[in-house]
Amino acid sequence: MKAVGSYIIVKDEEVIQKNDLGLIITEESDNNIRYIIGEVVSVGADVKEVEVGGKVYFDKIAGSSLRVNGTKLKAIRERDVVVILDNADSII
Amino acid sequence: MIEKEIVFDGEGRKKLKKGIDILAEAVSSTLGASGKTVIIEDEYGNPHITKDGVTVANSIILSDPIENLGCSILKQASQKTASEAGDGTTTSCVLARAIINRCFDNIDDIENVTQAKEGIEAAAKDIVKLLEKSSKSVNQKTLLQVSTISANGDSYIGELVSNAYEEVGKDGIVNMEDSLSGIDHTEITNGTRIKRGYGTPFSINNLRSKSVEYQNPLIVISDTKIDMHERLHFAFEQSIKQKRPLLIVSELDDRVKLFVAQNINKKNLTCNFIHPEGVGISKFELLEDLCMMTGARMISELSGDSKENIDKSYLGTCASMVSNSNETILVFEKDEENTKKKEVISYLKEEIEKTSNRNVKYHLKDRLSKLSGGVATIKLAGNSEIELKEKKDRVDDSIHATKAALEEGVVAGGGVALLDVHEKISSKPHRSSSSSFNMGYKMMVDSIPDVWNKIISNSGQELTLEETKMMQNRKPKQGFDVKNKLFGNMFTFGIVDPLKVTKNAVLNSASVASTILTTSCVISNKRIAKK
Repeated sequence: MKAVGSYIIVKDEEVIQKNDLGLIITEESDNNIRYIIGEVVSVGADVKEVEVGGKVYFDKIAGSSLRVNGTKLKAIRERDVVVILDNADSII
Repeated sequence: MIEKEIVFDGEGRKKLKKGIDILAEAVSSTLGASGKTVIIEDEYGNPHITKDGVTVANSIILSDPIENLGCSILKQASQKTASEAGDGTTTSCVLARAIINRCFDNIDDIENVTQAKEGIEAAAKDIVKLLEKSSKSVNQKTLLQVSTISANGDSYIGELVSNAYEEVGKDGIVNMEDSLSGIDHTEITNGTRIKRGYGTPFSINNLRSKSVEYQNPLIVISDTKIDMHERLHFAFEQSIKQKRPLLIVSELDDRVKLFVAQNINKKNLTCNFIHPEGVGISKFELLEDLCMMTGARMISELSGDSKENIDKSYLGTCASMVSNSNETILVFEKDEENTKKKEVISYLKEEIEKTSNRNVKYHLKDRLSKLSGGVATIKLAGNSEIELKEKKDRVDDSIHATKAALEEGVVAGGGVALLDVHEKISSKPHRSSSSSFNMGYKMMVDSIPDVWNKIISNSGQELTLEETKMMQNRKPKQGFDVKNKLFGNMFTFGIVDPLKVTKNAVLNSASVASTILTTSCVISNKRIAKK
């Protein structure tokens, strides 16, 4: 699978975060927050900054879902991405 | 759609009456000091022995749909009395049946059923007025009498309950628990009650009683709706650091509720949240009182609190907290001197004297009872589970009746108060131009001595000629003690009923009877026999 042009494919699954007290924060209890976290599966040829395997914050309202080989994915554009995480494990 | 069966006028009424008669017969056998016990088979075939009218009524289900409807209508009346006054199921049943019987006997002579219904309702109101006039407020002695009678004459339980109420006063809370030590005893604590249950069932940590029980919890109180869980970060932090449970008294946004519930479920937090009582200024005042008792500081948007300036000094505490689906009880350390609290209590007492507005008075009394009330817990022990269950039933009845007596006073028991009212009212009945109205009024008034008659017939003895004569020439409040076979003043015998119970029994039975009177058609679901 390879994304086309300026598309970025991210995994469309909920990432549960933990705060400094070890309390879990789910997307639903945080649904007033617009940007959510996701893992990049594939990037198109025109994408400059985002790399495969990285974690990015993207606009949850942007893009549309698709299903490839049974896995639910989401196609977004590079302009919907706001943050690229260097070390995602420290937060999740 | 389920097929319906429709029955009109005479036939429907006849069947309804049959159902009512069956239920009333079963329940009324428990009326009075010499009432009989009833054995009920539970769903596993075990016997349950009781003298409690509600339990008997609830266990009766008839196979004929219309008879069952009649039975259910009467059941509802008695349950309403029981839920309002805690007792008086049996009295309601007997009264309702007496009125309904009279209605059915005279139904052909009544021209206008609606006016007859009004007559019944007017009579019930007059009866209640006279009952209120004849009531007495309770003292230590009558309180003991009430609690003993409602415990089916068990003076030991009566003493236990009345002592508990004496300790905590009129506004106090009395509840019961299983004793761990094997002896019955009463524990008095300083506490308050919030009429709100736990926010999420995930908090439940006592599965047996389906309640949340915390020792020494941290308490956070806010008067504004909390819409971000970050606002409570400091409270969560302290709760986790100090390894103490957390109680949140505030309105929470759905997201915050979800956040808390998820973390309780993941065992990250030990927390319970309840919605505050009241609205507007009364909510603010109640929360302020709660702050004073718990030592918490209120988080309020009015005073400009935000996430930055809130720290652990905003947290309060109490000795223990029990929260079930309906209410939350906080218990505090007993010997805590709180001068501000005393000041507020005396202020509230003065205000209650001064104000004449009923709603304001109610609110002030509510605040006073929350501030000054103590909590008495009666710990009960029993040799077997069946014994304990039966004992608990009686203690529960006794607690309710004693509370009702404290609230509205007592009247002469054994049906004598109703007998007095009957004499007074029939000497100068309410007159109306409508004959149907008069008839309804008379039916209601004529029915009330039936309670007394039933108590006498339950005692298994007939009055001798001499005794009948004594009853005819009796003075108000004089009656017959069926247990000791003595004639005299019921108050001196210690046979008294809470006014609230008798009053509610009259009102609810009148309402059922007037409903049935105006019924002319019964529609029921068709039963299909299983093959």
